[in-house]
Amino acid sequence: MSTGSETSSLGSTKGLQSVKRAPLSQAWYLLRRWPLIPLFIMIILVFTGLFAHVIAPEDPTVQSLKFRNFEPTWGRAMPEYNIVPSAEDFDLETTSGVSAFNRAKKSSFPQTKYILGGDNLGRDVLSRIIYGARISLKVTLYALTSGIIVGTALGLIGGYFGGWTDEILMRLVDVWLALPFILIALVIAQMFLHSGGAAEGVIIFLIALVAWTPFVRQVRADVLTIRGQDYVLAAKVAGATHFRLMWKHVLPGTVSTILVVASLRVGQLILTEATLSYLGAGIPDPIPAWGKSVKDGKDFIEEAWWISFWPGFCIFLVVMSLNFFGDWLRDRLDPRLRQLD
Amino acid sequence: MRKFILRRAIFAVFSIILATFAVFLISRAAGDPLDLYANSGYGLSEEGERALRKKLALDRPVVVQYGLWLGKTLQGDMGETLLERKPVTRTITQRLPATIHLGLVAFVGSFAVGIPLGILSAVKRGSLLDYCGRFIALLGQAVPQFWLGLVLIFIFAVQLRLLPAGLRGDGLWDVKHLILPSITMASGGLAYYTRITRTAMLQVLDSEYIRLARAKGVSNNVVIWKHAFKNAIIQPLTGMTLGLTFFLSGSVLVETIFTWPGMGDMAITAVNNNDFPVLQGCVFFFTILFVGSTFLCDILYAYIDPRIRYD
Repeated sequence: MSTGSETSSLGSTKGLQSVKRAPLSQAWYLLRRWPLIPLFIMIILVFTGLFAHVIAPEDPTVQSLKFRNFEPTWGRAMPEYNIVPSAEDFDLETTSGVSAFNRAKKSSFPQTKYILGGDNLGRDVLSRIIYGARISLKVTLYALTSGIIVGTALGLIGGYFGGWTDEILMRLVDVWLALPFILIALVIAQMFLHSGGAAEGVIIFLIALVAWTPFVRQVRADVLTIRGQDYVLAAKVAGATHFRLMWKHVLPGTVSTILVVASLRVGQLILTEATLSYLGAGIPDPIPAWGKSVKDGKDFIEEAWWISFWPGFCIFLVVMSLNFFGDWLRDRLDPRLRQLD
Repeated sequence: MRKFILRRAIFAVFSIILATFAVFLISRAAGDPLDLYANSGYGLSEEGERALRKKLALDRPVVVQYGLWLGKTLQGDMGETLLERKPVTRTITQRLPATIHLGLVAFVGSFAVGIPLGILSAVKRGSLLDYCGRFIALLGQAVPQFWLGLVLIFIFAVQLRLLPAGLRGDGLWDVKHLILPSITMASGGLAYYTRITRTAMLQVLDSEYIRLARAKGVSNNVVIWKHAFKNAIIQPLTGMTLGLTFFLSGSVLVETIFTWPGMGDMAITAVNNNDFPVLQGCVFFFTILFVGSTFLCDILYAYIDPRIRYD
């Protein structure tokens, strides 16, 4: 939040003499000055996303009817659910490549199983969350990157050339913002429903459709001031081409803006992805996604709150820390951008 | 001012046309619309198919089809729903009041709470109240509406059994049915207004003329409410336009969660049933609502702040 400006002015006046604080107040000071908790959450998110297959205690797609809506064990041992393979389990008859013995072994109950409960199909909620982190990361990363590229390019062009180009681009952005995006996304996703759901690429494309607009506006606003600067004019006089001017002289001046807008935007993109997944227009089915897990638990809210609570809570935590971090970054890099909310 | 209004009006009409055309194109690309009306495998002869195609004008270019649709829509005829063969216009006008009802309650609520909270938070900067305001702003912007709705249902409907978990109830003043959906819907807007009001107010309080007023010895209340408030309110007012997006897109989500019988709920059902005329009508109304309110806010803003008219 905006504690950045307060603390930074504090830092500049007392910069050189080190201030002695009691340990507790020192900790509080650090927490206020640096976004430590959000950073911690984001690091966990990236880590779980990257190493989901190592961390997840169970396979997120394996279903078991016996453990539908299973209550969270919170890591307690559940010996009463251990199944000792019986004699008939040693037969060699296999079902989809798994022998009965292996199935029985699988249904024995390790301590890591259902720590946060089982969902409506008996899948492990914790593992689905961990794998869901990976999908969220992937979708937002691709969508954001394409949004940055398209938005920055259009903003550069609009701001740099001005006139009609600018007018048309800005009106395009306005019209774009007036579109009922959720409905359009649903219609597009619906097109793919008959072929087994939209692929990840389609979802990334849909999210990218909403990602680009703020970049155009902010980059354009920056370019309008930068293009009149002496060093840009000098380069122009020296004979630089339009492309070189934009790429070498104008673009570097907008980097901090792009960073700030991007960091403020990530959270919203994650929310959008989750919303689409919740409405059934998201990632196709066996792949776990947070929004979809919330929807899975919607009908079981009375008997099994944990199915939708935990994934939703994760979305909330992640988006909140991303917003927090974005605010901090904005105050650090460019307090002028404060109006952009 | 008149020129400004005219320009915005043209732009508004243009946005509506573009938005509906986009949806028109997308849903046409989704497959042959004739398959939705009549399945060719079920005894429809080739001549019959051709006749039907001609009757529905599906043999013409897409642009012409769109033009025909727009012309009919402006006359109040949006065709029939595919499922029940009822006029789309009537189904929509039946559903529209519920959506506007919920949207207005949530909108007014978030505005009425968010702006005072933002101002108090800025005035009493660093106090407990400020922390609360900022916390609420942070919370509301990060919490997924669909999750908040479910959590509220779980707490108040399932555990405490205080409030109903869904449906609209009867009449405008059925508060019990209204509480949970409107809180869910207002969460995003509330956070947004608190936040921008606080920022705007902080900026204004920092300006020269406020300092002058204080130096003259004007009392604190007068400084805040007479001098600062008027200037600080401009930004949240423009934010209203952006806030409205929260409520319109929010209505889709909130209505499906609480089975609120509005247009958002209907739109989702239409998408799931591939009911194209209904969907097209919903998009039309949503865009009109959105663009219309944006238009009004723009004019209001230009009226309050004359600098806008000359940009």
